[in-house]
Formats: sequence, C-alpha cells, structure tokens
Amino acid sequence: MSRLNEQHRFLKLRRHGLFPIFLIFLVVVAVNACLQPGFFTFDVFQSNLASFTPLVLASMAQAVVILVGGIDLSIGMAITLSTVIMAATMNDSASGILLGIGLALAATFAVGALNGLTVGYLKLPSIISTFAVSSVCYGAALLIMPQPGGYIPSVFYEAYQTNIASVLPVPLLIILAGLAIWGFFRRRKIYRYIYAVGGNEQAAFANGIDTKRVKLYAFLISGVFIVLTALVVVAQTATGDANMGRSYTLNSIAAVVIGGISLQGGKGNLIGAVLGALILGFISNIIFFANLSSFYQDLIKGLIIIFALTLSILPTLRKKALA
Amino acid sequence: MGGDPEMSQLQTGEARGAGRTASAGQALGKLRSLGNPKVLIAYALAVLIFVAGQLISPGFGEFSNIMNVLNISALLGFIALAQMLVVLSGGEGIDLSVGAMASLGAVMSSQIIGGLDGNLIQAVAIVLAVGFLIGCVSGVGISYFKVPPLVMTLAMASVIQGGALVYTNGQPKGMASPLLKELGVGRTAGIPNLVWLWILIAVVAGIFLARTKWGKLLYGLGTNRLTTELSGVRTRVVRTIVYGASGAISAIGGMLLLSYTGTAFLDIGGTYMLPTIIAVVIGGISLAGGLGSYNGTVAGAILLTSLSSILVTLNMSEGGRQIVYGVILLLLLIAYGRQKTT
Repeated sequence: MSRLNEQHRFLKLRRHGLFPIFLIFLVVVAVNACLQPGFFTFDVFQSNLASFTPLVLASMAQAVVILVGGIDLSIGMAITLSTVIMAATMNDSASGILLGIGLALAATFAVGALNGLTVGYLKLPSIISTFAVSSVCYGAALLIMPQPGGYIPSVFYEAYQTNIASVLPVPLLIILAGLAIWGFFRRRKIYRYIYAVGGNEQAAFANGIDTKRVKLYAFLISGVFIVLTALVVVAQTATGDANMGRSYTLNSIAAVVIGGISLQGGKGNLIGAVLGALILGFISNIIFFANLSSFYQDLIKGLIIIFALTLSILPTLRKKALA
Repeated sequence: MGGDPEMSQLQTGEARGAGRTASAGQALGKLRSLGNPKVLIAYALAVLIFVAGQLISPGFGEFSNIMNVLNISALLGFIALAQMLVVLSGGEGIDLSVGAMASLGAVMSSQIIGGLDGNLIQAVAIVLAVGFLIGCVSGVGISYFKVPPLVMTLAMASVIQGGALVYTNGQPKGMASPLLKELGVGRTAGIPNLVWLWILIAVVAGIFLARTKWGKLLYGLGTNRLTTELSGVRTRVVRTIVYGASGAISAIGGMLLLSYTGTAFLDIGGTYMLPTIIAVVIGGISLAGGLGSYNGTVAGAILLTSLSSILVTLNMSEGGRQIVYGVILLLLLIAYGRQKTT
C-alpha cells in the first residue's frame, strides 16, 4: 500500500513542471562540485551565491513580463540606467543614499510605464518596442554618465558581503526577499490576471479583465526586480558604467526559458527562473574550473539551452503522439 | 520645427494603412507592394530625412552622400531579407541568430579568403553551406521539436557566437580580397556596386516571392499552416528549409559586411540583429506572418539607415542620439507595427 503511495508521489513529482529543470540543476551542481575545490564550504557557497544573484533577480524581472505574454529587451539597459543614476547621485549620507535609490526607482518605473503603455495600450509587439525603449534607456544612461565612474557608498559592498548571524549570506536574503515580493502578489488578483492574460488574452478580455492594465502592472512589478538587480550590481561593482548591463537582457531570457516558463506566456513559475539563472551561473563556473577556454562559454551555454528546451518539450510531444 | 510634418505624415499613414491591410489580407498572393501606402510613406520619410539633413547640414542631401547611405542600407537590407523570409513563414517565425550568423560569415570568409581573389569561390561555397546547415538545425528544432523560434534562434545565436570564438581563437585573421573590396566600396556609373547587387537581389526576391511556386508556398505557410499542410505540403520540411535559407543569406550578408569593412571582427554582425526585425516591420510585414513584400523591407532598411545617419550628422552626443533613435523608433512602430489583437 505504502509502496503504491510512494510510486504515486513519484509520478506526481515527475509530472511537476519544474521536474526536468530540477534534474538539470542537480546535474550541474554535481559537476560543479566535482570541479570546484571546496564547493561545499561556506565561503565558496557564499561567493558563488554573490556572483549569481544579479542574474537571478534580473531573470525574475524578465519572468514576470514573459508570464504576461510579452518579452522585455530593455531589462539590461533599465538595470544600467538605475545603476548609473545611483552612482551619479549617491553619497555617504543616509539622505544621499535614499535620494539615489528613490531616483533609480522613479526612472525604472518610468521605463516600466513606457513599456506597459506601448505594449499594453498601443499594442506594439513587445520584442521590438522594448528594444526601442532599451535604446532610450541607454541614451539616458550615457547622458548621465558618459564615462564609467561615480560613487557608491561603501555600506553597499560591505553589506553585500556580510552574513547575518554568520550563517545567512545577504545575497541569499535578497533572493528570498525577491521571492517574498512575488509571494505578496500571489495573494492578490493581479497574480491570477497575469497568468490569465498570458495564457489566453482574448479569454481574459472576454471575462472582463482589463488586459491592457494587467500588462502595464506586469511591467511595473518587473521594475521592482530591476531596481533590486541594480542595487546588487552596484554593491558588486561599486561604480556606474553605461555599458555594464547589456548582457542581462539575453541571459535573463535564457534563464527564464531554461526555467521552464513558456514564452507564449501564462505557464511557469518564478522559482523556475531562479533555478534557470542558477544553472547558467553554475555552467560558467564549470567552464572556468574545467580549465576550458572562456571561448567555449557561449557555445556550451547555447547547447545546454537547446538541450534543456528539447528535454522540457519532449513530454508534451509524447502526449500529443498518444492523443 | 522639422518634426511636425513628419508626425502628421505618420498619423495619416496609419489611418490609411489600416483599411488597406485588411483588404490586402484577403487578397492573398496578390502583392501590390509598390502601391502599399505604408511602404510609400517609408520611402517618403527617407526622402524627408535627406531634405531635412540638407537644410541642417549642407552636403547631406547630395548625391554622393545619398549613395553612401544606400551603400550601408544594402548591408542591412540584405540581412533583413533573411529575417523577412522567416517572419513571412509564420508560426511566430523570427530569427534572432541573423546577427551572429553574419558575424560568423564575415570571420569565416575573412580567414578563408586571406586577401586572395583565388579563394573567393571556395569562401562563398563554404559560407553558404555552413549558414544553410546551421539554419536547418534551428529549423529542425522549431518544426520537429516545436521549440519556439524566438528561443531556438536565440540559443543558436549563442552557439554560433561561441563557434566563431573557437574557430578564430578570439582573433579573426585574414582580410577581404581586392575583388571583394571592389564589390564593397567600389562604384559603377556613380552608384555603389553593393547597391547594384542589392537592386538585383531585390528583383530576384520579388519575382521569387510573387511568381514562383515556392514564394506562394511561403505566403500560404505564413497565413495558415494547417490548410497548407492539408493541401499536401510537407510544411515541416519547408519550414526547416526556410530557416536554412535564412542562415545561408545572413552568412553571405556577413561576407558583404567584410567586403565593406575589409577586415572582420567577432561581433561585426551583432548590431544588425534587431534592426533587421524593425526594417521588416516598418516595411509593412506582419510579425504574424504571411503578409508583406521585400520592397517594404528595402524601404525599412533605407529609412532606418538614413535615420541613424542623420543623427550622426546632427553632431549630437552619443547619449542624445540613442534617445532620439529610440523615440523615433517607437513613433514609427506606433504608426506601423500595431498588432491586430482582440
């Protein structure tokens, strides 16, 4: 009886959407553990986590937009704009720090609103309109800071490296905070609306959901994660640089896709995006510690994405074949 | 204010375009692209940019400068042809690997040619074959494994980029041969050779799309895959070949980039990736597939290139230029790219 129960539980687990991603995650961690000396020591855990966190947060930002059925090519430059604003305005005083964060928040929400208006209300295809917005963000960042520089208070990078009660690294805390923010929305209507609009926009509209507004809100919620990413990035680099954030755009999409979130929208889980970003981080670790030339990084990353995609799509193909 | 007439132009274009596309959708296969108001307005806007440029900075509207801009447009336009075929084929078709593929084509031809004319034919053959094969791999993933085109080609772009890095060891060697350089920067009868080539390609592409069985198949595929499949077409094979063709064309596009620059660098094609999509959309091609013509893409490529060219001439800082470019893109998209949903 209990064996049957166990089998049943395993089957249920196997059908869970995150199952293939979790398998890949375990494989990647295992390979990494073999290659990286002292992988299971706390110091290595902490430094790995610290370097993965920005992409984890950026992927959460991307995931919200993809869940609603869009895609955001402006994420990298929105992050950049935020970091540049912080580096240009902050000083050591508390008011200076608050001003920097406040301005970065305002700018990010303005970008989110612009994206939400063009994609939601003007019905532009997000893949090109967010690219245009990305250009605007890049221009603004360049105007604010033509050369890399600026000042980031030491509080930031010191805090980023500390452990609370010497067991809880701050980066982990930030990721948990990000998930908590998403958890906060989980209890609200907007959460269901995002999935509804992403899943079937017409049906959502027919059921009286203001689809345009939902898209706008999705971009604004995504903005919260963008600002979080920017905070972590400045804590890591301690400067502002208008050419810094470009890579986050495509890497966040890759992480979201690996994480099993459907690009058609409406299907997937933010945890998947977190796992996807961690997988990408571990992969670059593996390439580094396997003494492979960094030239192979893009190649292997691309192959793994294709592999992960095929793996996550195979079950649905089989279902179709049976039907 | 030079911006106001442009704005009103855009708005009337949108109003007139809306009614027209609906009827065009019904008349499948009948392409009256030259009369398509969206395309005409794109050309008119490009002319307007040259006139405005001449007023702001004398010399911008002169023949030789216009030819320079067209020369660069030809490069974008050629790679945008690859993008257009994929978008036309429908099924959310898009190819985000055209930029990486062009880069690969450029560095490969640079290394194979090594400055010698004798290696040209070999280079063309190899670049075409590699581009076609890689494109087909994307196509197989998309049509047989049902991977969404956006991700498949994005991942493939990463693979291609990595492949180019490994192939060149990080530093592309070689250069264009004299003959290839003559194609890229030389002129015949005052008109750049690349523009002559572009005209030839545009005519061939136009005839191919409007008059041949294959062209009609492509529109059929983009409009309704199911009916195309039911009428006996092996749509998965065709889709795979379309992505293969896109790969081959963008790889050769990379060779043309090399002909213009003389030497290749690793990310030479990267900046062309998203502009190809925008050129296709400005050219009146629906991202849903099955609608539009290469003539429109040509107009889109010329408009985009003249726009970035005038922004350089305006002596604006890089930051200001990026903002203006982005804002104008948004305005163009509002006029051209609105989706017909709900």
